[in-house]
Amino acid sequence: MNESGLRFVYRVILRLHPEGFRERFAAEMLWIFDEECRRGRALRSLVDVVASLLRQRGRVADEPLPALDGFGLLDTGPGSVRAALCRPGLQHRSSWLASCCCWGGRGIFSSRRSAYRWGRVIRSVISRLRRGRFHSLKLRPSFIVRLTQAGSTVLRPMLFG
Amino acid sequence: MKTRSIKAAPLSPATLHILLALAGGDLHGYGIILEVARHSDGHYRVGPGTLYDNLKKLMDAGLVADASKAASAENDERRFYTLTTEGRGALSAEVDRLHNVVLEARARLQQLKQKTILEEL
Repeated sequence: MNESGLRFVYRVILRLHPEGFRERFAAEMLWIFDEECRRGRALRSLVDVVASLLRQRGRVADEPLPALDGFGLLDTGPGSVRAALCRPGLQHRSSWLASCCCWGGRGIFSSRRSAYRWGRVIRSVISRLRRGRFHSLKLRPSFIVRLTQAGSTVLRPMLFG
Repeated sequence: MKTRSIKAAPLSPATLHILLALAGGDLHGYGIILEVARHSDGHYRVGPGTLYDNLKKLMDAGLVADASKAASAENDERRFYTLTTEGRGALSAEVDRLHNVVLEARARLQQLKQKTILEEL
């Protein structure tokens, strides 16, 4: 992969970082990445940013913020259920799911094939959420996770092409 | 609670090197990376991910803060970071701790050496 390809991957990984971290440091990190590229240390920086992403995401998963519907893509219903959905493990996955949705909406998954693949993952997660089988979380039988208007606008092209 | 733990616990190598780099003066991110490489004779390098990961942690803990730019760096758009009083305290405590470790290690090695000499005799 050439330098511009590595830079693109680096930017994608930066965008997957939590928003607060990204707003504060992403521009500087990209600037340093460019400097490191000039010195032939692009791959090393790439590995480093992946490690940083895992650490940052791990930390976010430990924090009780935000809820599954914090992204405005899914409507998770009453407050008690919303609180249950804040549990770290689930919240972590939900933030990734929402990130995927956001990225899909911005055209990262440009090929129909990858959109279909991600669509399958998202459908499977939503279906497991509906059945209340996400880890040990028990949802009320009547509880349904609904996509909000914004969520469906983002998801529809990904799921159905 | 987080602030307390980072000050009390032994610092990680990356944190120690970053604080050490900033002890020499205010630096921007890339300046910290270069300074860490310089003072460790190139043996230790922090990548941008590790650097900002640790900087965020240190800033949240109040050990490092954003610095006001020097007149010479006014045209520089990069952010500069400075060591706070608490940061200096944490660095100083860590250096003392490491100093004690070195003293203890030297004493034990000395004992071991004497023991070996006695056994050989």
